[in-house]
Amino acid sequence: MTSAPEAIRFPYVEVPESAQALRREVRTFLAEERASGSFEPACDCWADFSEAMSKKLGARGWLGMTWPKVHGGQERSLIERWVVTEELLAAGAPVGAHWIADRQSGPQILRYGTDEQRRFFLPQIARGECYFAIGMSEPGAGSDLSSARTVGEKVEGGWKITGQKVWTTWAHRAHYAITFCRTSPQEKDRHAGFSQFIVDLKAPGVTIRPIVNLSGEHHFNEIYLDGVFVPDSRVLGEIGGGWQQLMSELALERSGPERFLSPYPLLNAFAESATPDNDAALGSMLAEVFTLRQMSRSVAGQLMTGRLPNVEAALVKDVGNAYEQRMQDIVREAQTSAAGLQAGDALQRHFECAVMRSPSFTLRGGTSEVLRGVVARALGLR
Amino acid sequence: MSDLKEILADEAGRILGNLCTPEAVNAAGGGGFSSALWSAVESSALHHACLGEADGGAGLGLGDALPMVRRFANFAAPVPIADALLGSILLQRAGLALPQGLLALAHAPLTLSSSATGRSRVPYGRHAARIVLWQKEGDSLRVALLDPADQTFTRGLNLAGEAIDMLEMTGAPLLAVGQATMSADDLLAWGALLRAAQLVGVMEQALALAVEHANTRVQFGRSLSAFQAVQHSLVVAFGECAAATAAMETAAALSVERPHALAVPAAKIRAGKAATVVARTAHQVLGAMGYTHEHALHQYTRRIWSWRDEFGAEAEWSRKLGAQARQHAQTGNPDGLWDWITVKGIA
Repeated sequence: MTSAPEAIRFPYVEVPESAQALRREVRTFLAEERASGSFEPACDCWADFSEAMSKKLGARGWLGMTWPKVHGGQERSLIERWVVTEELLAAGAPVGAHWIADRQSGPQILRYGTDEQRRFFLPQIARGECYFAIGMSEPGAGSDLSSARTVGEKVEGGWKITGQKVWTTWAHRAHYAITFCRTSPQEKDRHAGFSQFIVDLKAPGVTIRPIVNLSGEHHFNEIYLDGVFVPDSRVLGEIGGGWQQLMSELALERSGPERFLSPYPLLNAFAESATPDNDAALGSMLAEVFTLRQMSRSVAGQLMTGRLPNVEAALVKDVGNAYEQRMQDIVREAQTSAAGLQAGDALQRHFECAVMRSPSFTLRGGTSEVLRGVVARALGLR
Repeated sequence: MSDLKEILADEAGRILGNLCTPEAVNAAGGGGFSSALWSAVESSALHHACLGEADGGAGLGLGDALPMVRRFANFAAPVPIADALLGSILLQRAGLALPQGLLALAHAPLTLSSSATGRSRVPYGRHAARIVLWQKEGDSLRVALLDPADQTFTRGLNLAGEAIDMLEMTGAPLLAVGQATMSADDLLAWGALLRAAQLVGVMEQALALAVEHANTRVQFGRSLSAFQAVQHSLVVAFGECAAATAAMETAAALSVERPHALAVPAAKIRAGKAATVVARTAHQVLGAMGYTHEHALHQYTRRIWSWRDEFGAEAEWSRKLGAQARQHAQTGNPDGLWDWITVKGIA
């Protein structure tokens, strides 16, 4: 008798008392901020940009918190970071400015960067002053990133980058983008010959144009790179090692609580106005949130042991995104038999935001189809 | 303790591997029972895993017995290991001596004093040496032991073909009566947690059969697993099973003295939802072959259809969980619900 593949698993990870103490600190801070009017809780808040909020969090040591103290970090555990992350999301605080830098660009620099890069970038990120965008997708390379055509060409003292990136969230307000480029011609191994560069988004040759999303908001952009010079000192990791480096980002990118807590303010507003008629709907959503929190925290725990749980991370995102979209249906169905959505109240506001942003949930950070391909491979189906 | 729970699960796996063959499982269909398997379980005292060592048990909490229970479900074992574990705990909590032979567990009939009168639905009743009857009494339980030998059963089956017999009692004499320090709510929650572990066990096996079939069955000149539509439906079902497993394991870890008020309902809800998807997907992938009695798939999917509804289906637990959540959300504290979700012990 065979069972599910042993390699894919979500062992229970306990939250230590130190992390619970930290949780209370963060929650108190956020309650005070909310009371003072510094922010209004919102769904999908990690897409909302606030330099002020990022700097406040940085000042409290809640950004880059797992990094060495010498680089501006706090040498906290990934579980402690996970706790802070979910507190920010549950509160609906605007955390989009620093999100990418704190979640994946900083950790990539810590792991693959030179000592000079670490000293230069990490303390700024940890202070909440330096923001990154993701330079992966291209017009001809969305899910299929190995088709990327932006090229890096070796020149005296550095590299000349030419090409185009797209769907680049907050590129117009971020300082840098770790940019994925082809640095040698495609060979048989289509994953070979890629490299990553830390591109200064204010450098000559960089043009950033807005792409307005369906609700009229300007979050993402297209970036034109017209022979942009990047000095040798801003190569990230190994020339030719770009694909492998990128793979090590994915678990960080896909497994966090933002993959299922984006509509938490809606769930909370629903619960606040619920009647006993809504109990079954509320309970079914609670069961999902409970489960996904365990899965996500388990991935953080596995990352702490040095494992690279890319398949587990793909499952957190796929199961989490499915819940994020389905919960809106549950709220709608419950409301038709209860009070109804009242114009202008918190429930209505969160519902509308969640609905308008929901198409992005199953696209950003890897589409559902790409994620399912990752898991299918691990199950031996492809 | 974690070592011990794995040792017991491995011991169960060894016994099941020897005795719980597909033939034995099929032979027990239609209300049967594998007495050979149960004798081996008793010899290893697996059914007493949750009793203290003084009583011949392993001293495990019920949560720590779940890996073993899950293993029984992996084999679709035709023995009521979960109910027997729970029955043994009830007897011990009530200070009653443990009898020899198979224990069945049932909610008690109308009167339960020195004798019992009424009707009671008893899983595996016809095979039991003794029946543990329970009845809510305030915050605790009245527990009694009945010899079913002279009682009348109306035989019945659940969808899985497990015996679910209706016991008709009129002044049936009881062998012993006691009071157990456990609430009826907790008893049902322990049952739900056990069923969640059993659901995970049968889901794993149904998925394994589906994946194996997808990899070996050739249509249109290629294996079914080469079709992306098939891959993705299997991955969705696998994700459901993984979610149910995570919820169940967490609920087990958090339910040491008592079943956890959030984790156990969540685990049963999640397992029931997941199992429904897994059964549907496995049948779709296995096609008409999986719809036959000859194929082993139904041993797992029929258990899914029965067990998801036992000890509370998703709707019942969702209402209970939602009522708790609603009260925490409506205290006037905007963080009230989140406080409850993240309280120490759940965190």
